[in-house]
Amino acid sequence: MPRLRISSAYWFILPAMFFFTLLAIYPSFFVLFLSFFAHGKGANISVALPNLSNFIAVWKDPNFGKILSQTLFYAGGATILHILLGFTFALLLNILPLNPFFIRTMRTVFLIPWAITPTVVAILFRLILHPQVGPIAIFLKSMGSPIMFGPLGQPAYALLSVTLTNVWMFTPFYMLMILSALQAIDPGLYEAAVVDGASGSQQVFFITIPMIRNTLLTLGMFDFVSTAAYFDLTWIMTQGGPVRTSEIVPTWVYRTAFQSFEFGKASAIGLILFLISVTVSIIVLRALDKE
Amino acid sequence: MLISRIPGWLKVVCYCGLSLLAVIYISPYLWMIMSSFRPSTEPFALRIIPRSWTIMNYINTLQDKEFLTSAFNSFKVASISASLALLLGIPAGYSFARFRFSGRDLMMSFLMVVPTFPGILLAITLFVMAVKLGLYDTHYPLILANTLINLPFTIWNLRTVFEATTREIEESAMVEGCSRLLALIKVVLPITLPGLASTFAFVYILSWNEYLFATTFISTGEKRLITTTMAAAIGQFNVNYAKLIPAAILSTLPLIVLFMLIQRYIIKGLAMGSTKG
Repeated sequence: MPRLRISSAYWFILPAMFFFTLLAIYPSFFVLFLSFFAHGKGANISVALPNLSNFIAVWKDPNFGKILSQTLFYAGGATILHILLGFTFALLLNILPLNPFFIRTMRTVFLIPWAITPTVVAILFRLILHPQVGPIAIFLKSMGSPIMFGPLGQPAYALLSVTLTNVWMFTPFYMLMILSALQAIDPGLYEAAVVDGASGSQQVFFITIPMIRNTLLTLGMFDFVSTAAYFDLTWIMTQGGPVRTSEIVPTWVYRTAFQSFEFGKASAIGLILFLISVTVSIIVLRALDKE
Repeated sequence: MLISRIPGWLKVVCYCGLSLLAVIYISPYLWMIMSSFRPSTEPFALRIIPRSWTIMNYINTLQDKEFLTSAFNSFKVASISASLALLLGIPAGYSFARFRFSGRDLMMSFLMVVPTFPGILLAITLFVMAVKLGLYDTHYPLILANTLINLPFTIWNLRTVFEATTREIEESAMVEGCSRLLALIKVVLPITLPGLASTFAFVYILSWNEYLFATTFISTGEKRLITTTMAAAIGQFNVNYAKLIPAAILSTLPLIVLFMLIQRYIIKGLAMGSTKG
């Protein structure tokens, strides 16, 4: 009875789709509405004819270029390091002929940073990098070093510190994803390569990397898009400071919306971020299709 | 694999090297655990390793009203969100696993796209909606937001859980007169219990960890969640480390253990998204 099957398939999905429509599709249209129509601050929000004044206000904001390039540094740098380090760790755990139980234990231990609450990771690194209570600063002082170690308070190092914290926290996740892609590669390919006399590095560059290329591209895209929109770490570690040197788009949107209550402008900034994300995704998906 | 045989001494080097690398990698967290035993009277700046160790910090934290209230609020929000996600996700995931219908691929790619929508934009719209409906500073919008952001993964993961079971079991139940829904509840759910429990646990962990919505929708102190309470504590001028660090350990260590137990049931669902594209 194919007809009955089809209708029950839809009935089963209906509750979830209803929920999505109510809380995801409706809000995305609402954001569009806000960015084009809403003006003014907080309760004084007024509805005007659709125009681009919110977008022009964002474009003319003196910090626009600066924050955008900081976001690019944060998301791009973190993505490259996640994938590079994740690939290295995954390869190490995958190729060494060690006890499988040991490998599983190592994989589990490496996962710990990813399993820690992001808020606690932010607090943890605020303490580790603290100029008075942090172990690094105490160690430097005990060595008699004159360096005042407190990178989160220094404009030149704050963004880098948050980026590296992000790398520490999320690399395990990418290691796990790359590891499961590596395990899906047919061992016969390597055996054939060995018969043909391929060296270890040749196997990595001519078999491993081409085989997981699509996974790496998809992961990289997902990584860039989600890191560029990632709020928690930056906000708790630096609040975008000092003097907005670690400000990224999501903290800017938060500040605009919930500290100066300019919802129209905040939505416009967020939409610009979303458009950049979509563009990046499309470029990567195009690259995938060429295969 | 690439390397099939290595000499014995090199193996020892590999075991030691990897173990050392792992310990160094998680050393910041180990430092935090160690610091939680430092007596509150001993200043941090004195030494990296505490001179004496005490469990008094934990006893005090476990009696601290602010910590207990916010931990309970987080527990409430996370468990209701995870239950709701499962309630909506089970039928949808089952449907994607068992039926071929028009619009199926479109809906599945929609599920992939939802998580790329920036959370901060969702926070703005849900905030405005919550204020309009008079739900600001209650836990309802938080529960709904957590359910929403975790529902795509829930459906995705439950699909792989259901796909791993054979059709025959519920079909034989349906031959005996069960409806599809009853067969799902009576036959399929019991045998997929490990997968369901792991999905629940994972959504619970993610909701417990959530910070952005928790800080946007809640203003009253007693309604705060554990994440916002801790973030507020670190932002103060005089941070009470003897209270904050044990709280941070207590709120993460149980979840890390739970995560270790369930990880093998969720890896497949997570990896599906990255390999299928």
